[in-house]
Amino acid sequence: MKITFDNVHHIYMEKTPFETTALKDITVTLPEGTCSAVIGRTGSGKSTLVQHINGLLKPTSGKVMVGDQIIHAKTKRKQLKLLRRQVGMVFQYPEHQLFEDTVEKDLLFGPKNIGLNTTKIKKKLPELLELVGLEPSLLERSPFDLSGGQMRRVAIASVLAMEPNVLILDEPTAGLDPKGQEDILTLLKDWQEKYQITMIIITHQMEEASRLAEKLIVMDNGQIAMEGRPEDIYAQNQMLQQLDLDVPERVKVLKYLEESLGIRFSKWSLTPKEAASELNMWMKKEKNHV
Amino acid sequence: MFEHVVIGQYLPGRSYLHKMDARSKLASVFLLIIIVFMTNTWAGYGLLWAGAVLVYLLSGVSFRYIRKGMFPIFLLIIFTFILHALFTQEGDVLVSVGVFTLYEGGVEQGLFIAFRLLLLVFFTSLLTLTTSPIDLTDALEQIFTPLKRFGVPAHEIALMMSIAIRFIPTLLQETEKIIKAQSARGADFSKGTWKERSQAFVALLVPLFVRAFKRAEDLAFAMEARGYNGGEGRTKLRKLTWTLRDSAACAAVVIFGICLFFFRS
Repeated sequence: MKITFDNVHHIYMEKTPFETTALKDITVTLPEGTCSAVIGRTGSGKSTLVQHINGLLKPTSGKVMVGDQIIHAKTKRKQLKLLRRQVGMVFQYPEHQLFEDTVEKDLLFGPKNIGLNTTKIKKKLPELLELVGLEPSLLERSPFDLSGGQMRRVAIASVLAMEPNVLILDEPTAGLDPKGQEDILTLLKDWQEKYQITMIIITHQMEEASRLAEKLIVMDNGQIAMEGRPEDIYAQNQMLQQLDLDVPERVKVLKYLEESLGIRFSKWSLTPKEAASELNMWMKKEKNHV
Repeated sequence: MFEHVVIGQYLPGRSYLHKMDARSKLASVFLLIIIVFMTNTWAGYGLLWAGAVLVYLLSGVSFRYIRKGMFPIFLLIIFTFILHALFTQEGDVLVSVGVFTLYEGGVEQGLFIAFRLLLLVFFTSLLTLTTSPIDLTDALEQIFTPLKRFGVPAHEIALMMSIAIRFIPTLLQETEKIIKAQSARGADFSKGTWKERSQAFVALLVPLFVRAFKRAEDLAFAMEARGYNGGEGRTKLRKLTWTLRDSAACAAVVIFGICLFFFRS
């Protein structure tokens, strides 16, 4: 589903001394069936932005369009509930939301709430667990007996079990070890490609954003500072540094090679393997020239 | 979601009340509560309301805030007023509808009780609105310190209170976060049958408690790791200072109380 923000403002605690403007004049489109990343430093309004997509927050003014549903300041609760069937959201530290006595029950909580066929989903659970890298035998265990990384996977699976058309993830890898981070990113990428869903990932690591996203939205101080393809954004080095963001190391290496050797890479989001083979080709070509 | 909880909230400011010492504010509110309970005539309540308006003006808190804070108690007040009005049978009959008869004494009694509750909530909310929780517990600790001789653990009580107060916003944030996370998983906390709603609340309470216990454990470890060992010989970063302003306020409240005493019937 295509998601469009049209002139969205959001003010927290309006008309109190604690009033703060969290979003100012946001107009942006997240294309259907692709992964977009929202990136920015703490307090830049990333979380506030994405919570508008499933109606957890309503814009103070302006409107948000998700598919053909429109959310504005006066949208009714009932409509928001419909929206939540379509839009899955994985919060920061999602393992804090686990509560049932078995993993299986926790995974079925969401699907049951939105009225999906639970018997059908129950059969798919072992497969789902394997997909997120867990043993199907864990289904009968208590989620509180699992390790932190395992809990994170169960929590992500509990949202995937709702089969959302739009998946939002708020810093899904925060606090995990490098291996765990890698695994989670891979499984998300695979899921997105398999089901062609619209995915939005919040992060403050460029590295992570560059791995998944076809579109980057850089937020600063409640506004959109930059948006576009990762390549175009990496090119604006100075602007990124002003926002306390950095070009991913991989891209830095490619950039350096381009500058010092005069090689042109096909794109900057290359995996190390792809980059190596392009470099290899280039070197062969150079040799032939000589 | 919890943006509108006003009870116990502190509003930073620079008004007369804000600048007062927390101890004098506590003492004044304590005295005012006694005065509110002693009053039993219309003239007395008139004076008390005038006093309340004066205190309100000194607080610099916007009226919207106080109104919002009073709102949850309003239902309780109306309920007690109705009960008293209906079941006190004194004085002349005002109106009589079916089985219900409204007596003059009943209405008077009901209004007095309503006034009492309103004034109590009013004074105590002004206390918390203009005093930071840290100052408040510091003041309580000092007030209780003389009782240490009789084995009252003043410092520990104050510490427990400050920890409890300190974690109210944290727990509210946590609650809001979990409500959001479970709402995103389709839970509905305000609609549906009792069974559905109680299930939704289990989904809120279990994670909330798990986190709270985890937090308590972490805090205990952190305190022990830094060698915390109670109040013995401990110095304070923020000292409470009693000024002329505080003596004046306390004196005013005492004089106010004495005046009102003569208005008792």
